[in-house]
Amino acid sequence: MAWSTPMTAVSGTTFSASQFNQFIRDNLNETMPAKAANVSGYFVSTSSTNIVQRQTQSAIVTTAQSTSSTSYTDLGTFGPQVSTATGSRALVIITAQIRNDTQNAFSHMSYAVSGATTESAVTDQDKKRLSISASIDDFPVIRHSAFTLQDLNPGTNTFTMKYRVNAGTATFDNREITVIPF
Amino acid sequence: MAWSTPITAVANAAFTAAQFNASVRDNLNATAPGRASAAGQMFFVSGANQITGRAPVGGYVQGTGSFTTTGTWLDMPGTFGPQVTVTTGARVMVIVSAQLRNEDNNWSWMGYAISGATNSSAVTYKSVAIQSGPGFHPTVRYSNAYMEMSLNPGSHTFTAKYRIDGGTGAIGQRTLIVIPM
Repeated sequence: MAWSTPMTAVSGTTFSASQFNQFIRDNLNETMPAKAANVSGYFVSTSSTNIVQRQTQSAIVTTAQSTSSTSYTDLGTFGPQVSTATGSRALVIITAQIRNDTQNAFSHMSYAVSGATTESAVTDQDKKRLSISASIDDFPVIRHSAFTLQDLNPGTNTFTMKYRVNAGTATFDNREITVIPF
Repeated sequence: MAWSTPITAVANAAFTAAQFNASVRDNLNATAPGRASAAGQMFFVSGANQITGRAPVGGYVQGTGSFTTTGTWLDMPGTFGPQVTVTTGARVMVIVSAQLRNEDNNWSWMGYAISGATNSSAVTYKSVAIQSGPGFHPTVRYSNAYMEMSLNPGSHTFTAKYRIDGGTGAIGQRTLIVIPM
């Protein structure tokens, strides 16, 4: 049963079993401890007076692999990829070590969304991606993260890392994606 | 007392003090207001039908330290840390930030080690890093966020660690943020 606004007691009136069930039992069953199921889960609201447990998901591929594709693609080892239930937003964090063998060439890492939401890696890439340009051939190499507050359709969404360059050949190492769903 | 499934009241049946204490008092005490113990806490699941308040912690060291090739993870000479201690569940987000430079075409790294209920050494894929090239030695400030997914719940100490793979590296403005879940 859903949450309902607790009644206001009136002095001298009977407190019935149905009132107890509605305002005490059913409302307590809508609180966090009643819904707590998975260690390290946390709670967000899904609508007025309704909360749900969510869990952060993360995956990493530690294999260094390369591409010279100028459109977003997979690497030899797919991913990383995570799936999780979300509301209308999630914080997506992507991290990697990136290098490009060609001076002034850009290397980009973004992510695609599938499931309840369909969004390619190129959509809103300027907001989502982790990028670096090579100042000289092969350098610098930097390990760091990019953060995106992603709009979604509520439901189960899958987040998959994708890769591309605008020139040269890029190598991506220790590639990680973390999704904190709201 | 722990959470228990609230009773279903029956018309005309007595509602006892024991039932009130179990279904109302103890269950209300298991909700977020009953569990909140300090300002700034968020609430996470610590077991079936159990929540716990946890607050992010962070440390910062302003000074820039430099040292030469080690190839191994060390404390920063002269300015230890940052270091934070916090009680966590199984999952934690760790964010490291630093201004990094390497003078000699090699890597400078900032990562972290964990001690306490779980022990793990610093590793590259949990770190922020830069590798400079011939004649190209930028100084940049970056961040790396890593999600620890399988800690043993309990008290943990997170200590910043540093590594230079070649030449001389300088690392400053060092931040360590831990978000326990």
